[in-house]
Amino acid sequence: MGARLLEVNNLKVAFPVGNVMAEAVRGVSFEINTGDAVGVLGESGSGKSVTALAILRLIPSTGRITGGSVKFAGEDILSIDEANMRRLRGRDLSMVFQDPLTAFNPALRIGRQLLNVIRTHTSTTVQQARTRALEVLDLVGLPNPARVMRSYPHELSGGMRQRALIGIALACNPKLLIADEPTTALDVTIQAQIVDLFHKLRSELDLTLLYITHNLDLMAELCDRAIVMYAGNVVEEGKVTDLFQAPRHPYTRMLIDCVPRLEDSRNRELTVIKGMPPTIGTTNPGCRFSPRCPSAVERCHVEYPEESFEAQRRFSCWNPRL
Amino acid sequence: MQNWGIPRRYLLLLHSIGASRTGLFGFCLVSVLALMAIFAPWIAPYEPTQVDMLNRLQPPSWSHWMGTDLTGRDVFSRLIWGARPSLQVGILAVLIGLPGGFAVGLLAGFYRGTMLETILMRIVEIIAAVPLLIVAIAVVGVLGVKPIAMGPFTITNEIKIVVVLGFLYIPGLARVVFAVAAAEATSDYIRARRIQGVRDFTLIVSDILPNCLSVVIVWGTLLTAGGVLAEAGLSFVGLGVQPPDASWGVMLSEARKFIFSGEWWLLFFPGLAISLTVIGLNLLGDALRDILDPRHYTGPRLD
Repeated sequence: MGARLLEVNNLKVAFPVGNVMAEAVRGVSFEINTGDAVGVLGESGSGKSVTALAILRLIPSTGRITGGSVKFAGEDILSIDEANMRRLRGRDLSMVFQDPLTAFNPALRIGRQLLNVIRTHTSTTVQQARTRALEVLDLVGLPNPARVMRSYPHELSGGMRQRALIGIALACNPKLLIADEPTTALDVTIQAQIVDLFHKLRSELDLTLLYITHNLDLMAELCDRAIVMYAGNVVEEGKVTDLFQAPRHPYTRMLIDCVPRLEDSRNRELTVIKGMPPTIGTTNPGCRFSPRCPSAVERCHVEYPEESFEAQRRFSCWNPRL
Repeated sequence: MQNWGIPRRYLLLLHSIGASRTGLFGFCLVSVLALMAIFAPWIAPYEPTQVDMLNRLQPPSWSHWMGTDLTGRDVFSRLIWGARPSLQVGILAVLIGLPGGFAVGLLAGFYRGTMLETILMRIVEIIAAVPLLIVAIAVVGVLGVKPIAMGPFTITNEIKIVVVLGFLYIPGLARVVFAVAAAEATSDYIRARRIQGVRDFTLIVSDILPNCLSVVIVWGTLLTAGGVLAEAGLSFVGLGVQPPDASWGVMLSEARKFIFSGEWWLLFFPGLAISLTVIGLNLLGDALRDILDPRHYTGPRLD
């Protein structure tokens, strides 16, 4: 196990809803060590992406980080100035997005966008930057890197674009790569290729990865540890194998059950989690999942569950499945 | 297809212009005009200022295609030379207005919602409230129509007009650039580029600016037509090109006296030249907008 790289402590992010600030992330804590691959799992609106953006200090302009701390490589990055923060982004901390088409400027060639990032963060000559760019495109498995450099984003396929985007993210040897649903916009065969690519990069570059997704299978394949989020809280965290085999939180259990399996009989009804996740701004003194939870007890509705700890895992539930 | 080293997208642009009939017509008109202006000394059969008192007020004939004027100068030759000040003023004014319009529009659009945007765009609105021709007349009126010598440079009357027009073009250009830049600034790829740690300056210059180019090309074309009209108008009232030099405005001005006496060619040809130029530039601008703006575009795809 490597040294502690990222330490998120009681992070809170709020957005204005009407004229009050509503918390989208309500006290999230987790840690990542160098070399880890950590998955973040949750439905849309559970605060996964906002957490990631808060780590980069780039939440949408209406929102604010209202509490907690983020320590990256020992440095409190919520308090350093904007110029230094900008130098961290794209160099030590980089990110891959869900939709690789909208993440590129449609008017510029891939090469220009890639060289831009390299030359922003390192003091290299154009020639050195070019060499590095070709190297990185080759690393992410793009055939004919020189041609990719000359291409406009729309000339590449979805999978190639995502590879190129990962290439940009890796160009300056980041210490931490955040991948925000990097395969959601791709079709299944390409998804598998991208996951393979992440595997390869992890073993070759000793990459530290924070992998945000709602696809459990891909996460299980890629990550050692996972965090399950619901409505802005971490509800469970543990080794991926433990989470899959013996989830403690009912929400984790239900998420796993929701995925249809090939061996299921055709007549089995698909499992759904009844109800909707709470909208932002909903206040509820108890567990946020309690209105949808089949195993909720009286206490769940009135008091937020304390965190319970077991060997290498934690969860917040008054009535866990043991 | 052989392309003589011209990038493919420009060939496709030409191809798309050709695909729309009105665009092609506009493109041809503007090309003819530009060729006329560039090659005036070689095309024009006579010197534009050459007086021939024996052959004054001749109707169109084989030796003088568009007739001759009061002092026997060849109307056709003067028409060809007259394309020069028209296009000079039209194009140079846009080129002067462009950097200012771009700078203001890009900054205000990128920093939308900040103090900077408020200040810049309010100043732009103040300038926009000033009527173009009136100011041009006032400036030339104050400075006089004679060339002003400033050290090694002489400021000709055309330069004064061009500078005033260019300055007054800034608001219009700034607003169109602002609209595009503001939309681009909130797009996903700008967020992505921020996450990659790219500087604001780089974002503005190398990301947003290229995306504003198409609207600016369209606007620039349309504003060029405005410049042609302004030059003709100023020359007509005697504040632009000075006689005996040829300009369409000067020719019209001299032809005023002959409106009712039957020498129609003096009035007809310069008027036609101005109309065709403005029509051509407008048609070309419209065609370019259809091609460059995908929301309006219905023809073959350009990529």
